[in-house]
Amino acid sequence: MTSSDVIKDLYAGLPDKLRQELAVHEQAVTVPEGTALLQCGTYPQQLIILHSGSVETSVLVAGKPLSLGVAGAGRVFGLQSILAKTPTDTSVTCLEECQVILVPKKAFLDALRRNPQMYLAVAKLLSVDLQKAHGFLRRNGRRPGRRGTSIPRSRK
Amino acid sequence: MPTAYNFHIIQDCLKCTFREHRLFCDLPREALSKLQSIKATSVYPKGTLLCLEGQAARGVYILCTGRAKLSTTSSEGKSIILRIAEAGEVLGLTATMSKTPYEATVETLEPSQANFISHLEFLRFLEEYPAVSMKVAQQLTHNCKCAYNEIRSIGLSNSVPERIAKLLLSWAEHPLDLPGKKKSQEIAIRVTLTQGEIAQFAGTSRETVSRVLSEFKKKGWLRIKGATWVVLNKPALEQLVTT
Repeated sequence: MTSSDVIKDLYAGLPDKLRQELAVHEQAVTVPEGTALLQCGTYPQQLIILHSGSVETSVLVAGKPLSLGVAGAGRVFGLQSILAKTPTDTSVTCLEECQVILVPKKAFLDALRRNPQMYLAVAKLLSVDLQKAHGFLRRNGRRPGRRGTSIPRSRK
Repeated sequence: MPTAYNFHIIQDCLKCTFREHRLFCDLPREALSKLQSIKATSVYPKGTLLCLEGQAARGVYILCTGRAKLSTTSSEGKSIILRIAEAGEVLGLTATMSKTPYEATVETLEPSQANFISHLEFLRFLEEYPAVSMKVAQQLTHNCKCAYNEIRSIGLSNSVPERIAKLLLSWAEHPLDLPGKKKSQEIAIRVTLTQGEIAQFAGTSRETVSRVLSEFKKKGWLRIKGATWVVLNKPALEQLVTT
């Protein structure tokens, strides 16, 4: 799925007037390699749609990043956090020069409130995120082992 | 009227007394009427496989009562429990939304009622009622959060007692309301998982789970009587958990 497909899906069925309103708020930006598009634990102010390039997504584990993998054009970041009004669980860092489309949180939420039919596309995007997370769990699930099976003395 | 096995079947979504407390079912009346007309209600015994990982998605199940275990198979062929679904959740969502095979096996942990909605009917339902799509988005947001928490816990490579303590604490968030409960700090929970299943959750062996639970009991942190477990010392368990 390309970024154009994502935007087309997300805005499908929106009145032309609103579509034009949203287009005014959209901002296409080119960012260099190493740019942190999203940082774990922060509240994203924009919905980020990756138009070109590749990014690495990761979660913070005990202060260190744990890579979830590489994502390419068409992926959307910050959606879960914007909807739930919670800090983001993932960090997103550009692995090369990337082109992104930024949609301000307020404009996006306003559009969603006025046009709840957008939720269907939103749910499809969230399904992709969830499938990726489950894929990671499948590949890296806990392996049975005997290390660390007793209660530490200091905590008794 | 007495019912077989004391199981109370919720036939009519419009009359369901639980719906206001459920993530998905608290829908506008019109949408509920539609839901009532497209769902097929069934009651399943413990251990029923509602859907199988890899199977073509046929539709979603709304878990009305009971609980279900969501598991997947690791690249090494081991079963990994992703989470326990509670009443009110919609199961098989991602596969139905994205027209891909089910990505988890769903097995009931106790006698459960589930409303099945076929793939096409469900997608039509979402298109017709944006309020339903909104609920689905909320549930997926919740599921994503759970998955990221699980990923973080994998990365922590914490000890088995810590992982079991974490499980107990998460179950303690849904306590049983026992009549005549004396001490407020005691938290009763219903655990229908076998020790083998708890081992799958914690990524360890059944023997280790048994040993850790015995240690918890010996320390006076936990009491087990059949499927009813009582967390006696929540602060001690919390202290064991580092995150």
